[in-house]
Parts: sequence; C-alpha cells; structure tokens
Amino acid sequence: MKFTTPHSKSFIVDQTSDEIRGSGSASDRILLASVIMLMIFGVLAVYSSIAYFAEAHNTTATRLVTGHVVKLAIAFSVMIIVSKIDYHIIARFSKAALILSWIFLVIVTLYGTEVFGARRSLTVAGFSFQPSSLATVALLVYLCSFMIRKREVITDFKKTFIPAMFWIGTTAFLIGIEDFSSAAVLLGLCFIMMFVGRMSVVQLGSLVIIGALGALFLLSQSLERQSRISNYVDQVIKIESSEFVLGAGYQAQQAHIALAKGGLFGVGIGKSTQRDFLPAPYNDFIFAIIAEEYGLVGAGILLLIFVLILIRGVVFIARQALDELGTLIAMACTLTLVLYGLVNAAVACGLFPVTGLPMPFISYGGTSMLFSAGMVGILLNISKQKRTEAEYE
Amino acid sequence: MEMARANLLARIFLVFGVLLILPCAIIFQILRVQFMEGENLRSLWSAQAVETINIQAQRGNIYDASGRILVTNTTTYSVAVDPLAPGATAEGMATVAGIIGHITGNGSDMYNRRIRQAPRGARYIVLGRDFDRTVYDSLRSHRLRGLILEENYRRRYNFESLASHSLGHVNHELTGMMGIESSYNRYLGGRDGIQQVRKDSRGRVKEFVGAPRRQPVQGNSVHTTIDARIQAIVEEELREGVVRARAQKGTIVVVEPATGRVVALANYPDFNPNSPGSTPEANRRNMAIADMIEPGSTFKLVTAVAALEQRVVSLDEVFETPDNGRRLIHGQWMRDHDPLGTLTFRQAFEKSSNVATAEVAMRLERDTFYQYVRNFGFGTATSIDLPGEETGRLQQPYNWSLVTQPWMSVGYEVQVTPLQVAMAYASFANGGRLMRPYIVERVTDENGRIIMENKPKVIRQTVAPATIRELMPVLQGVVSEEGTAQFAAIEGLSIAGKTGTAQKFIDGRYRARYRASFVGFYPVEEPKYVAYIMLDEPRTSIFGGFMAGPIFRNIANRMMGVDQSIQHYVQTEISAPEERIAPFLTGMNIDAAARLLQHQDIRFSTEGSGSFVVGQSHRAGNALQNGDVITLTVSPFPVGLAGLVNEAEGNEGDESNILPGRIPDVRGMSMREAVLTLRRAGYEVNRNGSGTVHAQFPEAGAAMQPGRTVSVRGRARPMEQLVSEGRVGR
Repeated sequence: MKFTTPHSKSFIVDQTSDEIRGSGSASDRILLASVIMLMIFGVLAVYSSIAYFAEAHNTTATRLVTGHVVKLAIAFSVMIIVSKIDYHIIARFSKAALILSWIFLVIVTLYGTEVFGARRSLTVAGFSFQPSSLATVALLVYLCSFMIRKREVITDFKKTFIPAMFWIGTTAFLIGIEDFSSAAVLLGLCFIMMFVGRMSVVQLGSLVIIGALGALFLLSQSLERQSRISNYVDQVIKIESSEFVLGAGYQAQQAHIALAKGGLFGVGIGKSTQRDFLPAPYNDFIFAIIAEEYGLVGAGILLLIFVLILIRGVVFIARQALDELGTLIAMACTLTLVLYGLVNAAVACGLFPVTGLPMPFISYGGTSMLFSAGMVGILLNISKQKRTEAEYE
Repeated sequence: MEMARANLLARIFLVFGVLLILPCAIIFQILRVQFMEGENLRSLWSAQAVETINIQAQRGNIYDASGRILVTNTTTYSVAVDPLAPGATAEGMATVAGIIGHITGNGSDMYNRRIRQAPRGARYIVLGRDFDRTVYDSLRSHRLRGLILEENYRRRYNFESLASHSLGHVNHELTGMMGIESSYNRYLGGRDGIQQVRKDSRGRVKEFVGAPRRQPVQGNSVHTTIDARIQAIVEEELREGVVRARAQKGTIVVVEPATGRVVALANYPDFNPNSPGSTPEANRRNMAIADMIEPGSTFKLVTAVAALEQRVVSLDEVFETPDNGRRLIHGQWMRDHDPLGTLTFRQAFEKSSNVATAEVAMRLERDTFYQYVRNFGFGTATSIDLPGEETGRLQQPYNWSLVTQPWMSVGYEVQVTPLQVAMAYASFANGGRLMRPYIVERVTDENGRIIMENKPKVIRQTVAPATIRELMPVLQGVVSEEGTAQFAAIEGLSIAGKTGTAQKFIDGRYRARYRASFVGFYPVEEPKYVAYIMLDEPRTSIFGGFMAGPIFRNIANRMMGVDQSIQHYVQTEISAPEERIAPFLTGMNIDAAARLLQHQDIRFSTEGSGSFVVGQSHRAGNALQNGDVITLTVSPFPVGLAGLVNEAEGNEGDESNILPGRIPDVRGMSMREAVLTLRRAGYEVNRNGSGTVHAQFPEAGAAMQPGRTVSVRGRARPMEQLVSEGRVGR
C-alpha cells in the first residue's frame, strides 16, 4: 500500500484499477458554502452575546469579535490546507496522534488551566488548547482505519471488538475525567461508527445492554442521581412558565424565555436581552440567543445548514468516496460536526441537559473551531477523490 | 464485495435517518415553547426586564507642578433602603430612620413615615441625599441589611478661581467643558460603572438587581506644569495691574523657555470654576490662546531678526526720522509715538521707532519676511494641550498690499495670540528653538504609573545663535534707562524684552484705544522665565512700558521668593549686601519653612499651632531689612495661597487624628487619601484593589513601628451595597 499526494497524477491504492478515479474532481462547493454561512451566523451571534463577557474581562466586544474573526480566518486556512492532504496520509498518522493526545490529556488533568472548576485546556505561550478535541478527531479517524485493517475479521470478538474497546475506552476515560459530556458524545459517535463499520450487531447490542445495566446499577446506588434524572425528565416534559425558577432549572427556563421572546422573526440583530441572564451565551447557549434575535426562521435556517452538511456528508461524500476508508472517515467527520451542532441546539432548547459542547463554527472559542475546520478539510479532500458514476452500475 | 457494500450503505442510511430525528425534535420543541407556553414566558420576561444605570466614576485630581492638589472631588452620600431585601428587618429600617432623623434634625418619624408610605413593593426608597462622611460611617457601622448607600461626587476647585482658565470647569454630568478638564477629559473621566436596576412604570428606580455589573474605574490624575505659587502671584499682579490701569482686561503668560512648559497663565477678569455659571461667559474665555490681537511693537523682534540675518541692516546704521515723527508710506502715515530724530537701528529698537523699523523691513524680500514670520510660529497654532486655541491670522504674501509689509514689521496687519508671542520670545531666549508649549506634565493612574507624558518638543530653529548674541544686548537695552521698558527693570537682574503699544482696530478703523504689552525674559545669562503681559484698553496710560512693565517687575521680584535660584543671578555688588528677600513660605510645612529660614539666616517667630504655614508677615519677594523678623502664622490645616485664595479644605486630610506610632484609620478614604495618610504617618503601604478602602491590616489604632507595611484593600467606589444579592446564577 503506497500513498502519494493528491497532486500526483496517479494513485496506487488497495482497489482494483478500474475503480480508480484520478484527482481533478472539484471539492464539495455546497459543503464549503454551508461552513461559510455558519461562520457568518457565528460572528453575528458572538458579537451580540459577548458584551457581558467583554465587560467582565475589561475589554470590548469589538475586540473579542475581532479575535473571533481572526480565529475563523486561521480555521479557514487550516481547512484549506487539510483539504490538500490525502486522507490516507491522515489515516496513517491517526494512531500516533491518538497516543499523543492521550499524553496531552494526562498533562492537562495534572497541570491544566482551571475554568469553572474543570481542567480542560492547556495554556502554552498564551494560547489555550483543549487536547480533548484532538483526541476526538484522532480516535475517530483511527477507529476507521482500524476497522478497514480488520475488514476480513470484522465480526471477530477477540481480534476486532476487544482492541476497539481498548482504544475507545482509554480515550473516553481520559477525556471523561474532566469533561463528562464530551466523553459521552464521543462514546456515542464511536458506537455509531462501529455500527457503520459493519461490526457485529450482536456484539454492539450486548454492549448497549451492558451499558444500560451499568447505568441502572449506578442509579440504584444514589438517590441524588435518581432525582437528577427525574428532574431532567420532568423538565423536558413540562415547561415551567408560571413562575421563576431559581436553581437547577434556571438556565433552561431562561433559554425558554429567549425562545419565546424570539417568536417567528426574532427581536433583531444585537437586541437580545436574555444574553444577560444566560450563562456563557456566546458558547453553550448561543442557539438560544440566535433564536431570540432571529426567531424561529433564523434558528430553522441554522438547523437547515446543519442538515445540509449532513446530507452532503452522508449522501454525497461518504457514499461516493474513493474507497471504504473514505466512506468511514467521511461519516465520522460529518457525524461529529452535525452531532455537536444539534446537541448544542438541543441543550439550548432544554431537550438535553447542559453539556457545555460548542456549536461548530458558531460558538466563541479556538480549539474546537480549529478541529471542526480540520474535519471539514478532510471531508473536502474525500469529496475530491470520489469514484466515477460507472462504479455503481 | 457487493454484499459488503450494500450492507455498508444500508447502515449509513439508517444512521442518517435516525439523525434527522434530532433537528425535527428541536424545531418541535421551539414551536412548543413559543406557542404553548409563549404567553407566560413572555410575561416572565417582562417581569425580569432590567435596565442599567451608570455608577458615577470618580474623576481624577489635577495637581500643580509641585504636587499641590488644585482640583479634586468632594463626596456626598445618598441613603436609600430596600425593606424587602433578604435579611432586612423592621428594626433595621427604624434604626436607619433614627440615625438620619437625628442627623438632619427632622426626627425619625418623618423617615419612618416615608418608608411606610412608599408604594407597595418598592425596593428603593430614598431617604435623603447630600449627606457627608459621618452619616455614611455611622450607618455603615450598623451593618444593616437592606441599606443602599450611594456615593456622589462634586468637582472641587481647591483654590477657587486660581488658574481657572487653564483648569476649566465641568458640567453637571462631570464632563470637562473647558481647559484641562476638557482637553484631558479622556484621562480624568475614568469609566462609569454599570448597575442593573428595575424601574417602575414612571421610570423611577424600583430595585437594584444584583451587584454592580461593572465597577466604575476612577479617573487618572493630571499633573500640570503650573506652579500654583507663581500662578497666584501672577493673578494678583494682573488684577492689581488691570485695576491700576483702569483697563478692561488683561492676560499674562509665563513659560519656561528651555522646555515650553507653561508656568502660569492668567486672564483677568476670571471666574470661579466651582460655580462657572455665576460669571458672564466672556470671563471664561482664555484670552491667552483664544484672542487674536495685533501685537504692535513686540513683533519688531521678527523684523530685527530677519533684517540682521539677511544682512540688510547693521545695528549701527543711522536712520533719519522726520521731525514730526511720521512718514508717508504708499499713501499711509507711519507714526512714531514721539519724534525720535536721528538714531541708530539699535536705538530704533530700544526706543521702538516704527518709521525706522518699517524702512528696514521694506529692504527685505516679501517672501523672505513672510518666512521669518512663519518660522517664529505666527499663523500656526502652537498646539498647546488646551482646547479652543486660535491660529492667528497671517495672510499669504501674494495677498499682501503694498503697505502690508511695513505695517506688519511693526506688528499690524497680522493677528496673533498672546501665547504665540510668548513662544516666539521663548525661542529667542533659549538659543533659537521654537518649542511646543504644554501645560500638562504627565498623567498618572492611581498607582502613580505614568500613562501619558508630555516632553519638551522642538518645532524648529527660528533664529541663529549668532543673531541672538548680536541682538540680545539690544533687547536688554529696552529694559534700561534708554529703552521703553525702564519700569520693568530690576536692579541687579538682567532682563531682556520688548514693549508693545498697539492701536485697536474696531469696526474697520484704528481708534484711540490701545493694547499695552510687554514681553520679557530673565535672567539673560540663562533665561528661566518668559513672561508676556497684555492690558486691554488701559486708561491711565496707553504705553506698554508704563503699564505692563511694572507688572513684569513686580512678578519677577516676587517670583524670586518662589524660585530661589534666580537670586544667584542678581548682581550682589549692586544690591545692598544686608538686603534679603522674603521667601514664599505659605503652604509649606513649618519644619521645612524653619529650615529654609535658618539656612538664609532670617529670623522668624510663629503664631498659632499646627504644622502648616498659612500666612507670613512679609510678602514673598519683598526686601527684608536687617533685623526684620518674619512672623509665620501656623495652623493644623494647610490652606490656600497667601491671602489670595480661600481656605482649601480637606484636600490633605486631617492631620490631628494621627497619633505617633499608631496606625491611622483609613477605611472609607479613597485609595489616594489612604496612601497619603499612611505615608505621612510613616508607614509603607501595600495596596490591593482600588477605589474606597474598606479594610486595612493591621487595624486602625494598633501600635506599629513606622516603616512597616500596612495593607489596605479597596473596593471600587460607589454603590456601597448591603442589599443581599438578588439573583441566583449571576
């Protein structure tokens, strides 16, 4: 197996020669356009929601937003650069990247910068960096190449399932120490990818059953956990609107007020008032601010963009990928982007408990944006190397 | 292979389909929130809608060159209560009413009633405003819940009208409107804090929401180049001069030629910035920079420099002036103040002959002469750091008429500001460098860190050093028996200068109204001060030498008491050896004053008790006879300057409550006051935070050796809130 850069004229890959389609196919324009639209949406929403944060940190919203735009520009460049790199090469280095991210995670747990009581980022020379983002991408890409490598024994419990569990489990554990929600979402993503990678449904099914039993056991051990779960369920079922909630449901209620105030067309750009009441409105609750300022229409457009990315990623890029590795990696990247976006929106609507997950390309913050951009870059590269239509005949 | 691929695609689309559920659920949830619960949620929103009000930031102080506080703030307090605050009790409210009632003398009933009769649910009931510190202290000491104490500031000009035109004043929103207050408003103003409040339907504050959302940031301090003592002398002499001459108004500018620092700037009539509205607007005009006047003979310096450097004349060239003292130039009469007969160019300058000067000026190329005028800074703003400066009026040479050049050479057909004249002479005095004048030395933050600093800046070379050497004796000759300014002379002190008497041009023609001016500098050996003095429409005499000259002499004389170094330049063989000059002692610490007097071998006695000199029997600058005893009036409080200024209260803090070896109580003071007080008591200070001091360690009254460190913790000023914070999760 020998990989070359996409700039060279021919590819030698593990496919029969009639399946090979050379480079020269354009990258996915619609995907690119969707990402740019997300970025624009994000700049507006961040600008409107960050004023309070800016005041608290003795700076101006304009300065922070300028920083945000600079980060977007960097992320965009990263996206373009990554799209020039053959995804086979990225797959090759994924194992090394994964191990490296483990080391970072351990360092962060021991020496990281504390924000809201959790150590998630590493501050090096003024730049803060969250290794969990690196770990997420590295693990997903590695899992894909791992499953391709084990293609012949994909349903084998000992040769495939156990090693996969080792890689996934270790990564999730290291992330989960400081950041439970990210770890949970990562586990979900890995589970879906294992399913897509044609691993044994029986094995995966039993994994679900074991997980469920474990969760029930943990619940039965603690009344507090039970009440938290039942509170959460109540909260989803019933929207408290008769009186102010001060306590567990405060954030959800304030987010609901934002949604209600937004109505169909919103209150207008920069006119959000709920940003003063919601914690981290530029990150966790940015969807609520968007719904308040741009209304149901704006929020719907934002969701549509994510659905568009999902369609492009799954129906076009993954399905038409040059080889199965491309298909799997395209699925992984698409699902990560879309799931993060949708989970963030679901949290802001009170459907999910508060996770602190960023909305890709929208939320304020550097590292996650960089890795989201990297994933789009990978998707663009895969889209450039799609197979010919003739193959489907 | 085919099977595997089909399986893969099937699984992909299954995942795809399942994932599409999520956006649908989100949209469904939004619809549910908006339509099923929307009405209630929106009413909840209006109940929590808050507005923000500004918390006034404390404005920075303005200091003179030696650190005297010229402008500061006084603090008043307003008292309000929130009976519904968590922990607030009826007894607590009654206590507040009792204290306020006791202090105002209105009795507690009135305040109890006010609390009782407030609208139901009111959470911000104002009991009174403009209370002083004692009210604040006694209320705070009870640590009551539900008490809202707010600080308000008022600008306080410690020396009333002193330097009013330079300092300017503020409007009711504490924004600088004139002078330094305006040009340095950005630094002085600080940044207002923000407090969230809930208002009732009539727009009155109903409730404070939580802690201040942004703490106010205190303004920076501005350190001026003004010397308050010299300023006081200058103002006093200006006022006396204007009254003596029965003039309409007058202006004096004193600058340091080497640097361009403005040492004093005075206009009379002046105004009191503590109540700027009580004087007519004309009084507030800073004539020194905002009035464009025809300078008259003081402008001849430019002509002389141009003519000598262009070698169209020598100092010894002889001129014949007509017997009647006037000559027709291009159809207009050029007059001398008196027929001067035959005289050299040197004498023409000393005696200020217009006829001879105009004759010399006409030998110069028009563009060359214009260039010299420009070089001296006329026709361009001096760029002093004060607002409202005029550039003057200097026509381009191609617009000049035939008479423009001769008339400009004697100071007509050109309009200048007094400051421009002072700076032109300063450039002559300092070796030919035209300096940019400035009135603010530096801006510092509350830690004393320099934020902005003005440094001396040379604009250009105006005149060659050789020309200065040649012309300097001539300017000295002006201030002699031979010259027009003999009344400006001080025995033993070398002074150079030039008088000016300009006819005023009103409604299209020159009238029998004049401006008398004198600009001089001293000591000639190493000029330290340039002073420009101008009286508008003097009536006892019109001549600059007679009217402005004596003011210059008085100022220079008295300034020797302030700037002792000048005395070294006084030729001792001329002044009587036993004669001494009383130094400026008022405002000094008694110890320092005693040291100074002992050093100069002057006997003195004291009156009263305390550590500050507030008065002296012999005016600063006056000659002392041998055997004279200066009586110093002392007081525990520092007060204003030499009878000119009223008592300046409170700017230095109360000295008497500091016991030696005991730590003073600095709680409630501004950080600045606290540091000052502790340093005076001999302690080092470790500061945490800024604004009002709310804690100190060790505590007040504790005994501690001087030199050790006292830690103080500040809380950014206003809005001392004892209301417990209303909102969770903020």
